Amino acid sequence: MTILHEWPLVFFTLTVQLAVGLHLALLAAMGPLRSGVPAGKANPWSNRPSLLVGLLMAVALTISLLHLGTPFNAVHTLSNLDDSWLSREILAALVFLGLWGLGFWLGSRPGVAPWKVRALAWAAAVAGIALVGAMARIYMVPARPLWDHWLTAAGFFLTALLLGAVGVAAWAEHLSASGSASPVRVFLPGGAFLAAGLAAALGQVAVTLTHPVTVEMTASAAGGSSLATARLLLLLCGAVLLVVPLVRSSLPGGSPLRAEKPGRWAAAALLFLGASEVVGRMLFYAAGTVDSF
Amino acid sequence: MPDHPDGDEGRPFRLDRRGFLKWGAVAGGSALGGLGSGIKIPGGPPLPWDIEEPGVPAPGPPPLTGGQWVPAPCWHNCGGQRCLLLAYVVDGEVLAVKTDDTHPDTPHTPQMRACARGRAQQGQVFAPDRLRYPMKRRNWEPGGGKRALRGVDEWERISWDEALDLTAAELERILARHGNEAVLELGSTLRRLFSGLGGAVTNWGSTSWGTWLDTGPRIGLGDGLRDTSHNDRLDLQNSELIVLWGGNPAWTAQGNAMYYYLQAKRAGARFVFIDPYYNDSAMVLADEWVPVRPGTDHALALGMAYTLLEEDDPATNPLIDWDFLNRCTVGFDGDHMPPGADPGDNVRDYVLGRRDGIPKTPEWAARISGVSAPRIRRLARRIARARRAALLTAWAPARTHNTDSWPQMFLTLGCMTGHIGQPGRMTGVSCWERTADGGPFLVGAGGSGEPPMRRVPRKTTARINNSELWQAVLEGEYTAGEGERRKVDLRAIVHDGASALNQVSGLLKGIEAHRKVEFVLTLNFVYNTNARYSDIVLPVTTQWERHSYFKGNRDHLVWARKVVEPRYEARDDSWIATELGRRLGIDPGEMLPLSPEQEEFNRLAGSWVVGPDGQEREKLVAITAQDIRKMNVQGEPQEGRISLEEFRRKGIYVVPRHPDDGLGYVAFADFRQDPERHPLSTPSGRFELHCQDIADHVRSVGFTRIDPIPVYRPPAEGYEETFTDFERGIKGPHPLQLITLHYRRRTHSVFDNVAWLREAFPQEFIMNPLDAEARGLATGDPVMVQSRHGAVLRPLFVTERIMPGVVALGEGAWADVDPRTGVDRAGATNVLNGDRPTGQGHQGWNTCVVEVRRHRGPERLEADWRRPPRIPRGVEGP
Amino acid sequence: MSAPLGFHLDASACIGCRTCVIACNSKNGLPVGRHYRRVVEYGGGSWIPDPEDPTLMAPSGLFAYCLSISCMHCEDPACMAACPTEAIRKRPDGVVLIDSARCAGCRYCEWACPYGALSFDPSTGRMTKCDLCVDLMDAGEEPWCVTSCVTRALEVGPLDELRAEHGSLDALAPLPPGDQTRPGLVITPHRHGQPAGEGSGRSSNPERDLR
Repeated sequence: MTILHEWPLVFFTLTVQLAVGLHLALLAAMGPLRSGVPAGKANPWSNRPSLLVGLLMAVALTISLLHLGTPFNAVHTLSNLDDSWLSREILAALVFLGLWGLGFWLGSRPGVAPWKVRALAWAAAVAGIALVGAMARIYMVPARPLWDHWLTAAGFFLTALLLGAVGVAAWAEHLSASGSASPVRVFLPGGAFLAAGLAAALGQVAVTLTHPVTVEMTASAAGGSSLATARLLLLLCGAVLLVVPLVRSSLPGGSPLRAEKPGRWAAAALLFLGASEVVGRMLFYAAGTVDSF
Repeated sequence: MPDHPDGDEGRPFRLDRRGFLKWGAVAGGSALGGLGSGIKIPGGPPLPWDIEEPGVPAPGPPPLTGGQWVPAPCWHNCGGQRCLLLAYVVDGEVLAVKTDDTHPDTPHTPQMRACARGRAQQGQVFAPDRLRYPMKRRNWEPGGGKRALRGVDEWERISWDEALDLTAAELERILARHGNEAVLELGSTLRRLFSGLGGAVTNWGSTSWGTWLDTGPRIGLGDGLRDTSHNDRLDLQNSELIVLWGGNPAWTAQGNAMYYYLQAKRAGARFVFIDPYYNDSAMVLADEWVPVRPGTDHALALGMAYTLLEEDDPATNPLIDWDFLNRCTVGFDGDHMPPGADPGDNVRDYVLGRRDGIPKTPEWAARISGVSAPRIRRLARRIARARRAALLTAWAPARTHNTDSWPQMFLTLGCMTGHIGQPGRMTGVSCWERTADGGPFLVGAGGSGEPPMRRVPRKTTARINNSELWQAVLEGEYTAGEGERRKVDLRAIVHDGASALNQVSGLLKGIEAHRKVEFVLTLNFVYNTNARYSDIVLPVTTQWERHSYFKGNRDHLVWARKVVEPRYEARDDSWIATELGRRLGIDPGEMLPLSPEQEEFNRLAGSWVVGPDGQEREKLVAITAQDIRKMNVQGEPQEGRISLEEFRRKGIYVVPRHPDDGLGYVAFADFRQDPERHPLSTPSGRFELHCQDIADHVRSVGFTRIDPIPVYRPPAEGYEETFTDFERGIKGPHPLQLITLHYRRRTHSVFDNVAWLREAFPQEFIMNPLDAEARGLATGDPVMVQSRHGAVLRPLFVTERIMPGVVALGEGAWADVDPRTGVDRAGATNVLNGDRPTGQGHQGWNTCVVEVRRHRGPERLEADWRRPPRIPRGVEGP
Repeated sequence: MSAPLGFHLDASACIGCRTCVIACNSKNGLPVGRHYRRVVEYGGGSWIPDPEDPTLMAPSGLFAYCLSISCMHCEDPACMAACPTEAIRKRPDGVVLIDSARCAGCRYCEWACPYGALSFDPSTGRMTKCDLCVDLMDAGEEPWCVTSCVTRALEVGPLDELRAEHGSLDALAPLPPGDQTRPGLVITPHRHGQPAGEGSGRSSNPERDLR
């Protein structure tokens, strides 16, 4: 099992998926369809954490260069949009980052019609989804039977959802802790993100257990089963850390056990879930280097 | 303490085109840390491969330009066809190696194509672990120094003068004090030197041949190398059935041999393989595979002979060629005995059980050989009923203990079925470089003209059998013949060539022996096992660095020559002999009587080829007066079939062959027709199924005895010894039988250090799934293989292709004995094979009983090719 | 446009000796760990009590064969479709080559190729693979793997001619079915050859660190 040279890809894919997930979650958090939201605030860029999305994308694209044997020739990577999912992935990443940047710029300018910014947020969301989809398709090639499965795409999207939702849950608490001076409001209750994160975590457990990568690598490769076990344990730990605040949030207001700061639990969960994703991705790439004959 | 510099992580060293020229430095450097990086393949000139976008550089290294192809020696005892190599040399450096393309490749006159090993020859000549300069073991001093440190000590680089002075002084001291019988010479390149000094103790014993070496010629068959008993390769295509008994030419006779067998198969021959291993030859050739337990071939053949005797009826079911038996053999029945022999001592009565009360029925044979009785019967009938069958064996079944009668049993089957001496019919050894192509040579080189050594009275005539070698060093006694034990006091071991420590049974005892003596000297070009356990190591040139090389096979002759200048400080053995001789008072002219140029000329001038009539020899090479002047030698111009210039350019002469060319060969054809007028060289002139000569010979050797007829004797460490109670079927502590294969990575121990070959051939331990499951083992697991004599550690390869109860390991890996545990980590089979002298004193490598268990340690062993090259500790810097 | 070129592999004659592999290494100056050509060993079967003598074991359905493979210079090369920089292209004669001036070394082609034919060169940061020895082919010679083969199991030529002579089989287990990429390969099957995608045996190369 050789995974060493795939480190950049582990972090590239996870960072991109975190960025896309954050953008989607922030978009949901802004609840643009809900009533009572000030129009100027109903877009992701009204929140400081949105900066993180752009930052993460910039970091991710830089990391991706580390994967290249000849980074200078990265300029040619958009050449084969006709056939290559890698070309398409890079295009989608650039479009996502571009739309995000445009939204950031417009959102910070006074007098720009809010709907334009909201439309950009939605367009960026579509690009982000396309990006994660293209990223998954790269791996879904007949030559790699362990990867060539719809669960690969499912896993990538669940990673985005998981990291985005739990990230926002952690962040929402931080906002409320930082006081009402914040100009930002979170329209979905924190519990919704906790719940979404929990669902995604359980989804990842299911994907991990059934994905051909796990099935084959635990059966054949030395070290495969320990990676899979670590992945699952970390996932379950993160899930438990999400369950606690969810349960305690649902307690009546006067209960001494009622969670006052569920975001701290979410932040802790994020650590475990992030670690789990790193381990899971290592296993994923290890499977790609196994030749079937 | 680890005894190689494995402090580095063992990066596989780089080997790109330009890298070749600094190969040793680069690769050696990688083990030293960092020198191996930064080598770039230069961009080549553009190739117009892309019409749309011309000028795009082609991938890969630049095309080969600016140099020339030089016929390069491929000089090993490999079992191959003596193939042609061509090295591309630019400015004295080799960029690539290819093979024969000097004439069109046709089935009858094929190109002499080299194997993977030959084509990896660069990896050896420019190996990172080439010995670069003379070395002295740090803790050695005259008289031995700290002897126990041999094999683990550090090395010091010394000058040639110092090395020669030290060596000469120590030899002189030992010779003066303890006499010539204190020096054990285990190679041959200093033979002239030692002859001049009055001789040294030498070793003897059949190795590759097994018992064919002594038994074959005595019963009337060739030993398989110096003399053959099978027909030529084109006649082989007349066979309708080819039985390959214990042979795997795809591994042991690389080059064209398998092509010849494939031609026979395409011509319609059916193939039967009798072997414990469904080997790679069987993979493409076998129509039937008969798995047989190692060392029991003789029993199987007896069961077949019984079947023929039982079922033969000259009128209704003729299975036995009585006419052939009666005219051409002695000893089959009481009516055809050699003079003076006991008529009761005949093969027929032995097979039927009249001699010892045990009929050698197929049922009897099944229990020993593992082949079912019905199958033994079918096999016997199949061979007997074939109109034209080739009964071919390799030496492997004869490389077992107590098997001196096996060649005779094999011959008996051939004689009973009459498959001898006619087109498509033959019985004998088809093995090594004579695989699938018997008969006298059609072309050959002349002699070197080297005059014989001046006679010096020998001060010792002691010769020690290989199986007693180390014991003789350790215990000071050896067997010198029947009932005769002699004392010997060995103080020095000289490895002038060969690879005795690694390639003789009882390797661990050998290491002990090396640690006992006062002085060990090795001449070699790589840091092999001999060198590792020595006190002084002298680096010699490879054949690529020497003047010229002649070698051929039945229908071709290769003339290769120096490819590159000597690497580092390597010198020819003959120079070393001369220099040592000078210091020991031997006339240098005795060491080097002829210049290399004159030797080369003599061999060229004497080269011959058979004429169109197939009988008369004619000169091969036309030599002009100008040629002689250019070569700066003494000689006369001569006519010949090809010009010197053409021979020099091509490096090969191939006799064109065609089925009707009159150059074909059917072994024993004249003899079969008229045994009176064309008798064999046996005492009776016939095939000796009763052979007093071989029985007497074996007795005279002094280890064990045999009968004059082929009586089966359970071999030492054979199948029977996997049991503590054979009769009741109770298995013992070593329930598995080990066979040691000629492995594709190497030719014996040579090439074991070549990275490409280490990568292609992992030196894995081969086992059947049933045996693996019983031990909870799977492919890739690290296993400890334990015999009565030692243990080795190897990764496991589980395959159905080996029969249950039998395991296999390639012979020749350079022992890597862990000084703490005594366990060998390379899979050196002579750690497992014991030094048990039997019969004619041959090496019984395919009889060894072992047990296998999972090694407690890492989950997987690092692949050999990922391990660092073996470089002597202490002298890493150039 | 000339007819596309390809290989013919006589699997009934391939003895797995790896002479072609070493010849290729020598031609292309490849270090250990990198290959343009490799040999796949495939086999299976089992041992059962001998029907004629239950005290003995006998092989049942036992088989083994070897396939020497390299870049197949496919009609629909998966590597070419995968390459984001269009560094992988086809010559008019069907030879698939890598343009090192464009290759970014992303190794995506390595994953996409079902034959494991690509080899990344860390010293140049570019992907490499068999180029069918175009330098020799253009000079009227043949690739070294072909001229090295001791059993004459490899042949190179226009695919239409190879197919006319040897049939149209383009895969045997464990190779993937030929319809994936339409490889430039014609196989004469081994007598125990098993259909691609449905073989009952296994290749043990990866487990043995054999590439």
